[in-house]
Amino acid sequence: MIIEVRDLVTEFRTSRGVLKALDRVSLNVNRGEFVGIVGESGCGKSTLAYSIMRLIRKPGRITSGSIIFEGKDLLKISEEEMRKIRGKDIGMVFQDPMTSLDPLERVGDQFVEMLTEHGVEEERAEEIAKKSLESVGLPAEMFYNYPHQLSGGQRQRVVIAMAVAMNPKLLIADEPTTALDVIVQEKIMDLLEELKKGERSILLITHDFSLAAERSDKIAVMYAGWIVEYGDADKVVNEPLHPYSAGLISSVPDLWLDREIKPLPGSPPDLVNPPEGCRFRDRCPKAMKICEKEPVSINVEDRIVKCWLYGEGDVKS
Amino acid sequence: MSNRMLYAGLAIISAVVFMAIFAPFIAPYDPTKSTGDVLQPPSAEHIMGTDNLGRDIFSRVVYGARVVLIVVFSASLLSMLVGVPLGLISGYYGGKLDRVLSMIMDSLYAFPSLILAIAIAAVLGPSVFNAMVAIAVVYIPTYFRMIRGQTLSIKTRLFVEAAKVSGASNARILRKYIFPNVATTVIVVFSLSVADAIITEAGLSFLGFIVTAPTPDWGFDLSSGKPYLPAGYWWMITFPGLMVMLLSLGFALVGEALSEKYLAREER
Amino acid sequence: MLRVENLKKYFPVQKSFIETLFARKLEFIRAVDGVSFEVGRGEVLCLVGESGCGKTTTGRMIVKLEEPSDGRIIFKGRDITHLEGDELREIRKHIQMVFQDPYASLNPRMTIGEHLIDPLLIHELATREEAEEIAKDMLNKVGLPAEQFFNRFPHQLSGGQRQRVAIARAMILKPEFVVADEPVSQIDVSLRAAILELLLRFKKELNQSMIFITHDLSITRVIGDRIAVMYLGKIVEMGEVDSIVKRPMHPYTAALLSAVPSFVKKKIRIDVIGEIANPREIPKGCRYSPRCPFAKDVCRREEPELEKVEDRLVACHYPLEVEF
Repeated sequence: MIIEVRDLVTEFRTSRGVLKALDRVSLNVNRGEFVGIVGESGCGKSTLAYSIMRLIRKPGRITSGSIIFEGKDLLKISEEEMRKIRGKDIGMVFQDPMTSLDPLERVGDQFVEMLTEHGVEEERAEEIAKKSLESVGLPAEMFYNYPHQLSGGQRQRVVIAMAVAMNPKLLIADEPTTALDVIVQEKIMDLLEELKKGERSILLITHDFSLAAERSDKIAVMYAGWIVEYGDADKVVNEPLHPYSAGLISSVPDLWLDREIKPLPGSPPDLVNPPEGCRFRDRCPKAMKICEKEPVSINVEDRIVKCWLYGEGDVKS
Repeated sequence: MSNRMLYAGLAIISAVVFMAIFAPFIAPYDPTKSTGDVLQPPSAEHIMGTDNLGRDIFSRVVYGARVVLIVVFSASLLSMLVGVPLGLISGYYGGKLDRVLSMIMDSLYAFPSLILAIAIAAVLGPSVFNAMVAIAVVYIPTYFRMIRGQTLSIKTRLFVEAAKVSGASNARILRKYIFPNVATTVIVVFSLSVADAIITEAGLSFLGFIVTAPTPDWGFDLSSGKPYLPAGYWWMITFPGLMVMLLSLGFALVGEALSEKYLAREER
Repeated sequence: MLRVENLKKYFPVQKSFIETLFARKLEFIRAVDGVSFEVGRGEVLCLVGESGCGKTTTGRMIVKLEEPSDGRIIFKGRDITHLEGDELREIRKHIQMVFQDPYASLNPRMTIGEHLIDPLLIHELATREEAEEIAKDMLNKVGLPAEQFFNRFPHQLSGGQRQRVAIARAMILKPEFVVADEPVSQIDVSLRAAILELLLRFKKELNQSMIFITHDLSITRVIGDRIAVMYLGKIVEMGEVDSIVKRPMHPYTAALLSAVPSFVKKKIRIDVIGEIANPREIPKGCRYSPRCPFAKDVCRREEPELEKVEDRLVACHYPLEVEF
């Protein structure tokens, strides 16, 4: 196992009260696994990524839980140690490449600066940077370009090259292709899949269920701060257990599936005052009396599901 | 922070306005008549002392608030009434009209405000009304530039295009879709330009362009007190001067607070 | 219903007067470069392509937010290309638009109710009281209970709710023609289907014709009758949705289709070289040739015409024979 998130709670203080963006979220990722985290905006998927990187900023705070990465609890180590882990052991790619690139500095300079901060000697850094650029399908000469001279897709490749230059064991990509056109998206996803080869694990955060379905080994479906279903990607897609997974899948238009789309009724709850019991209850076609109580996460056919439909199973957490 | 600034500013302004309205009840003496010995330092009878003619300075300061407030408020209202529509029209329609208007406004704006006000007041001749006009002209470009700039950005916003697709006329778009979105800016610019206009008014008055003796006015009293300062009679100019600063500060605080509260937030 | 003939839109690259004065030659971005199509009564034509292909500009010209550089727009037999003033306002009653960004398309200082009343008052279709009634009915119809939403301001609504308001505003004039510009691309995934359904409901009820602009090809199967694929300002392939999606003939269409994420494993992958070209330097010959893995010499020399091939129009010297 490369990373084990357990009962993670991340809160944001808002003018209306405390918003629990993540409410006791648990997730295990194995070595060499490609895990897609799917959900709509506000479900907590990005917060999960930022929490793992310990990049949650003020009004936000991780209040409890643990994140065990290679036997170390990331929530217990110092900021100094965490900084060494970021970039070196865990790489991250953001939605907008310009948030991680300085428009006024050459790609190469930024690259070298990042590497030397992790203790790489300057001469070696340039070599690593160029190699890394080539490994993501860019010419090494791009080392000398400014970010604005590159296209959106190329910028995202540069960011990925920087994220994997130190050969991290885990790469987190937060909506890496949302700002890109489909053809470029396809190529970036190919690249991510390629980067998985070897022992590297990849966490792909996306709102696009079919994109995750295409690329992931496992899929975690998030809803209102919870992981409601987690398991083998094919199984989650073809026989979803949680009514939200099922509803989301059948509401998404698909080019190759001959079916009518079915809209999901209602909208996600307000996380400042989440409803009692199951948070999907109001929108759920299968809601029962017991759903007024919060469901427990249980293990069903090698999947973890947070839903009363499957009884109390062998309680997982 | 911006709330505290806002309340402090409002407190100052309302105190001065209150003082101006109820001057006869607040001032202990007639501000235009000699009511004691000349050039007396502050004392129990004359808390701010007396001037070179033996008039009570406190009473003059209280009454003096009237002229400033009237001139500055009406001047700022006048600049607003001219500057805001011009800014809206110029920014919305663009083209030649916009280029000509912008050029005129920029050249007005290029002058230091006091010098421009003096020039206009000098041409028109000294009177309260003329001073008001002079100050109004000075601040028209401030409104114009702010409102034009905002209009330029708002008119490309999607909701304006949506209104166009609905068939709304230009006049309707300006009135219902653009103006309400610049209204906060108008209020902010009003407070800030009043803060500045108070100083300009004091300057004009100091140079004798607004009132004549014996009417009390802070700027005017500053100039009458000036010759006595070297001899050590500090109170003649200190109190009117402080009032100018205080009132200007009041409006500046309100303007800054509002802009921080509303304009900055909209940017976010 | 609507016919567009050889529509063009060139944007000057030089912005200011000084720049124009010193430019050696005037450069233009050919955003839309000769587009022709027809949309029949009750038909939905989807304009698809990557960003910068000119699909949005085409839509904006049809609703008269952009003045065409050349070509004609004919609505119900009448040339509306250069209408102005009252005539234009009259036509606007019949041609409405739903915008992409629901956060920007509503006036932050106007209540929801006022947004719906305004179009009715503009066209003098009702008195204020009547307009309020119609607006309330409309709100209920788009799933926003009037008693709850009528007096609210846009910022109190979620993205999905705002888009419902925007649709209500467009539909309140009962237009015969609607241009929908990526109306769900900024909406939460779980709410998209409901918005699409709402649009389809109005389309059926009012027997509307529609141009649906989207970069997401999977939506075309839900909402479209026909599809027009655009590349660098031109239509490269146009025909029935089902047949194009199953058997694309233009290599670009095929590449787009093969890149669309799906729950079903893809059978074919069609490659594309590089990224979209700069619209300032449109390639010689077929404008897709530099990216086309199947390009031959002719493709780099001669620009193919949009011609009828079997059941559709294709602009390619060597149409593909693939089946998805």
